Amino acid sequence: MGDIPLIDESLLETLSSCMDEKTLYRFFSDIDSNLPDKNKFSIFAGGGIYNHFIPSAVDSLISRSEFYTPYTPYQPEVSQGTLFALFEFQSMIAEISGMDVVNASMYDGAESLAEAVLMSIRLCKGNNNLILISEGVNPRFVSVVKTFIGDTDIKIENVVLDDKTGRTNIEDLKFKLKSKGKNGATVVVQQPNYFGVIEDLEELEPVIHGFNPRPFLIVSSTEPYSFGVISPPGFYNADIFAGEGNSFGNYMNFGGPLLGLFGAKKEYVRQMPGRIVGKTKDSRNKDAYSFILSTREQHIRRGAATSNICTNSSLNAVRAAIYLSLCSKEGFSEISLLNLKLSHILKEKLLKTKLFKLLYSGDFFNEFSLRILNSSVNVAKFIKEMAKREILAGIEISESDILISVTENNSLSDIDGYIKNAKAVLT
Amino acid sequence: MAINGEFYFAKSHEWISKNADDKFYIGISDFAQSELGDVVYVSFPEVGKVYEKGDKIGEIESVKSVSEIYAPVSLKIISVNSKLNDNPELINRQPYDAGFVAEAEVSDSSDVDGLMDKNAYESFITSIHE
Amino acid sequence: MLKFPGIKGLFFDEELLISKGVMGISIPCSGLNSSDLKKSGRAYIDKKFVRKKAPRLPEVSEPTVIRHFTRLSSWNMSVDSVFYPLGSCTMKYNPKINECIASLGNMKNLHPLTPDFLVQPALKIIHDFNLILCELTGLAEFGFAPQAGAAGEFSGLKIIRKYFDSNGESRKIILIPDSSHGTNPASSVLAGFTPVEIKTGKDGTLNVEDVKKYISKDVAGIMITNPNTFGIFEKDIKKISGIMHENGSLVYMDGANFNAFIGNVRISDMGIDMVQFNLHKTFSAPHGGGGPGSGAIGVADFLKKYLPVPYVSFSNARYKISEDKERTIGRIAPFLCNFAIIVRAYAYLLSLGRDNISSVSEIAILNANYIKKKLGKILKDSDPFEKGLCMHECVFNDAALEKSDISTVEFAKLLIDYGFHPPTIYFPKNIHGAIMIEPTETESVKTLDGFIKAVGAIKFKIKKLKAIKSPQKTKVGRVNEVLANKHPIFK
Repeated sequence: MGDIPLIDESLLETLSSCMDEKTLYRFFSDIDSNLPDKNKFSIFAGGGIYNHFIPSAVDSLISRSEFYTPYTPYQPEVSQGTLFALFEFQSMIAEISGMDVVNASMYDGAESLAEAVLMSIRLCKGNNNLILISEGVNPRFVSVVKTFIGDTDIKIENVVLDDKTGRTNIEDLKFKLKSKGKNGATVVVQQPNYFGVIEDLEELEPVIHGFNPRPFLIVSSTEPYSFGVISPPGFYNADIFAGEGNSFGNYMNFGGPLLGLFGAKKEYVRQMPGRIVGKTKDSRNKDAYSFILSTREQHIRRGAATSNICTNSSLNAVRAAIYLSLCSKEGFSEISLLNLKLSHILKEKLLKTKLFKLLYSGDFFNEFSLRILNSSVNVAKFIKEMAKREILAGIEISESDILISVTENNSLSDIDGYIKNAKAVLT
Repeated sequence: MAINGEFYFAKSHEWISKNADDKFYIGISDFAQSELGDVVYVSFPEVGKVYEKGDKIGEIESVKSVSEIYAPVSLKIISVNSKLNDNPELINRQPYDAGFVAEAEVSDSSDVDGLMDKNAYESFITSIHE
Repeated sequence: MLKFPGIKGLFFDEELLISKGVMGISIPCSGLNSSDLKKSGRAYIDKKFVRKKAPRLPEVSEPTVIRHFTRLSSWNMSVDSVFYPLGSCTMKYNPKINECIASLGNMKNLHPLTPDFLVQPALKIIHDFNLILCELTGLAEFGFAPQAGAAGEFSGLKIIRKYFDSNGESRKIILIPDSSHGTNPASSVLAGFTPVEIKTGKDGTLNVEDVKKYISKDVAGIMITNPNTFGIFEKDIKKISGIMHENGSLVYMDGANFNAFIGNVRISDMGIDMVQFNLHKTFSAPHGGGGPGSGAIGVADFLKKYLPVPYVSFSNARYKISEDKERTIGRIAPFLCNFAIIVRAYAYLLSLGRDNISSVSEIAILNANYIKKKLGKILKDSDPFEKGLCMHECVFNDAALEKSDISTVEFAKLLIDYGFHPPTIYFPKNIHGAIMIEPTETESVKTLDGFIKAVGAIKFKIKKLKAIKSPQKTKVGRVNEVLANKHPIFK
């Protein structure tokens, strides 16, 4: 190694000497036992990641090391298991989102969205100068998009929400789209939006696509579980769907790894980022699977690739495929509906306490925003006090406003616990 | 169909051929297609667009590589061979005939004379192989 | 006599999951009364939003799902079942204790927006892991927002960009050796730079004089993979760093191959300003059939203020998720980091400890050189860098195989029938028919000998006809990728 000096082991201070397996396990289980107890803590926080139930069968299957110890299926003959499962993942996400083509995963919803915006810029062939992002898009996602395209000359502007309904304001959208003139543009909305409100895509889509040249409509989502109850982006002629799929059988894991979902109309497939699995035949004329359209990717096209992504979230995608298979058609719709019902029950009960008021009137799925009426307790304090009572009450969206999420993991008795403790904290 | 004019080649392995009806056809050489392997997709030049000599006018993809198509001379694209959409393998099977890429107008046909003829191209290939 | 592990197994066929009227999940009991249970979506939201046609998911029971995916899994080769010498990917064995730790119940169920005071132990993991990486590299701080290696590269390049912006300069060029991973130029373009390729010298390393030729005031930095993708240590890296720094440019190291010198040399001693690690490679997190992984971007002191946010800070005996980096490049990921991968990487380092960490790279190098020397005798005239030693991996061209009328891809497919995962093939691009082998430190001599023997058998015994038809012992025969790409079926 030429003139580079070797490390003097005695100078390593931070790294302890080696731990035997028993000590190591003890070290981490001590850490784990000092974290909120999963069996006692009830979670009503969403904001981009949701606390859904995960059947034991998912963990059992995914702990097969035939799934978790290979790498990317570069050699399809010895990777049919992963490829087949990813093909099923693509098919199921296409079905849920209503999109033509879905890829085999991105890192997370935020990166998916940033890549979707980049893809729409490529599709405009240098003619795009405006990205309109609804204020209903998760602010964390918006920050990631800004990191990705912040250094280009492309303008990013917000589209405001309607004060009353909490949906993207269509007049503001029209006004801002007019400014693009003869250039291309991209419009990004989130379904349901960050504040939980269901966007009226039926109204928005024709307005957006009515401009000339036709702008691209990207629909993001952090809770695709909603598409068991509400119509998905593909039904509204969305050009690209970019979402977070963690809700499907994946743990929250303190924020990662997650599961980026990415879908598009078929005619745009050659500009899509990420790996795509296709169905084909083998030399014996039996069904087989392999990656397709790899010429889009960095290992072939290098600097001219559609994305720099290499490692993705394959295992999380396989988890999602296993989870959705277990849910089955009926279970998926039923759980989705259960989220809708339980969240509406909590909302009703909270409003009845007269300690909160609803921030927006728009319909919602499993997440909603409230204002705390007691001005002497700000949201941060409310969350802190509730947390001491083993309830993660929601997410702070402003000093007075809180975002609350309810899933099938929150039973009626959890909901009653929320009400009881909220009363105690706020009165 | 039959392209029956003389073939002229660029160093980047495209050919151009003038036919009886004064149309110019362009495509890629047999050598280029064999280097590339099974063609699975062709991205065509824009019809009606004028390209300068050496401009990138399209791409030909095999499973694991991409090859760019350059304009062998300055030209304007009149039409593309849309049969390649469903049958890209025509480029492998008949690179000098049904596997042509596009039809073009050439304003200055003396440009074509500056290219290699079949013999010159063959010795060019031998030279790069050595 | 060594036996090859590739015997014909018992494979079960499996159809796509399609059946009717069953489900495989036990839905949590919510306690809803029967009238609420009966209500449809329209009772809660405007009917215009209500989905009219439920998604057509499979309709299957739990045992059916279990059998389906268990069968699927048996069609994969994996590190746990075979030797997997996929070059540049560090397919080392992943200790099982790490999996047990990562699946501890409270950690995996932790919501990322839980208030800081409740998650102090989790934040401490990230904080302490950062300190260890700093000590091992000599760098000042690591950011863990990047979700994988390529995201780490992108973050690093954005830092370079921000650094020059802050200094009122707009440099556009990133120098990248021609042997680099495809992610390097792709990440450079994504960060708004123009990648310029530098040719590697005949000995497989960058030549100082060659690098000098590319120097201009428009060069923002150089991106060097070290050891490079030929598995060779860039011996002049310190000199090259010096040249770059003299020009005001920054030096980025792609640390995908850190496995080759972890615990033995420090990155800062090479004059490197920043590095990205792939925690799923060097730090043993399993590769998941393609992911997820985790990146990490480490920087020298003067670049700390540019790191992505959020990050874990520590003051007054409290850990905190902070966003106050003075000139941060911004957010790369929605939350803090790929926590579950960092936990595995941290556990890996603790299990080795300061006493064993250097043996990782020592044995990795030993194993790679064993392969290099022994295979060099079978694949005659195929080692482009025969004279020197390699680091953690070695590369061969197809000269000897061509003499046996076997192509690199056929060689790869033949190896499968002997029970080995093929090496990386046709990369690096500047080696003809490249075969890139990374044995890793977790393999025994016996395994390596078996692999070497299989290569010998292929080289000397196989006839062309068999090569074309291989692999034959797999669940499916040679997959028709031409058909797959010509007429794509996506779902």
